[in-house]
Amino acid sequence: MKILSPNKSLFILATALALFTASCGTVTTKTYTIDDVTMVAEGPLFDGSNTLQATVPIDLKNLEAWATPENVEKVTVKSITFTTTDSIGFDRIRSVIFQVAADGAQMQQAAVLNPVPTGVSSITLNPALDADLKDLFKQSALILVADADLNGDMDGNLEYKAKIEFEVSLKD
Amino acid sequence: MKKSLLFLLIALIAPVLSFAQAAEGDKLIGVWEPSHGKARVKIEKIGTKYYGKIVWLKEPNDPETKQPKLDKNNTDASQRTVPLKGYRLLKDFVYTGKGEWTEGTIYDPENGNTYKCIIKMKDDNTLDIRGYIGVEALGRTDVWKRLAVTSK
Repeated sequence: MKILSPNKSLFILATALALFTASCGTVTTKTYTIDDVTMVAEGPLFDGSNTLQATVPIDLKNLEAWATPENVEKVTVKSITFTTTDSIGFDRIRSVIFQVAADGAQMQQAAVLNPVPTGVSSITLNPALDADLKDLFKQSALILVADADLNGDMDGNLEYKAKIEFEVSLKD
Repeated sequence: MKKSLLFLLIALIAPVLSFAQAAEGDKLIGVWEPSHGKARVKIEKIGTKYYGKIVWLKEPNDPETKQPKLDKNNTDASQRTVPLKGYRLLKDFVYTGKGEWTEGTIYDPENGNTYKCIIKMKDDNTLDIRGYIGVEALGRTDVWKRLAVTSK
């Protein structure tokens, strides 16, 4: 068996390391915020689960000028907050399940709040820790879907403002 | 000239066919009951795909806690407080024609597993729901009945 000289071994090791590092690329993590989105369920609404929806475009250039769908490595939910100016607040809601969908990717359950506290004008949901929304962020638009469990019938619309923060890892 | 006419004809017919296909796919929308009769599932359309959530449970409360049943078998521990009533167990079905919806998944709250799934409409009020792992042959079919019969 031929033994390589220390210099040659060092050169091979350095080359391998350089190739490995180049293939890995640099991962940048940024917060993508969707703010002030109005989510609506049109009435009349009935006791039980009712769906509020909104469609929002995705523009990765808001994160980095070079970002494209191919650069998206991982996406997790950082925080989701709903607010309302309605005097009844969230008193009509027992629970909220929040999902994100898109025509070209699978729906992901992103957060839940159960039970919903009464007498408040703002609620913060508990994000799904295992959910990776990477494929959804490769689409041009997201469909935000909130299933609110109503504790009675309602004639009017159910309308909330949502603020969602996603943690997006981009690989260059 | 003949070619131009053909293109014009295709351009006119294509949207009509696409609309007809969408309308046919929407036949899945409604409230359905699995064969065990323990739940009712409302199927609706979000974007271009179909999703189904539990809207009624025969036994809505957990016998141990006496509280509404939760998704306690979810593999993601952070989501085990999700109530089963309202849970989306059918996701991402695409209508592919001939009374068939594919590319979707079905979730089994009894064990926390998600399976690939195909829906076939046998008649306007009967569905074959086939959940499977890997290939379609390795699966189980359940028959679901429509609750509110649509007028013809």
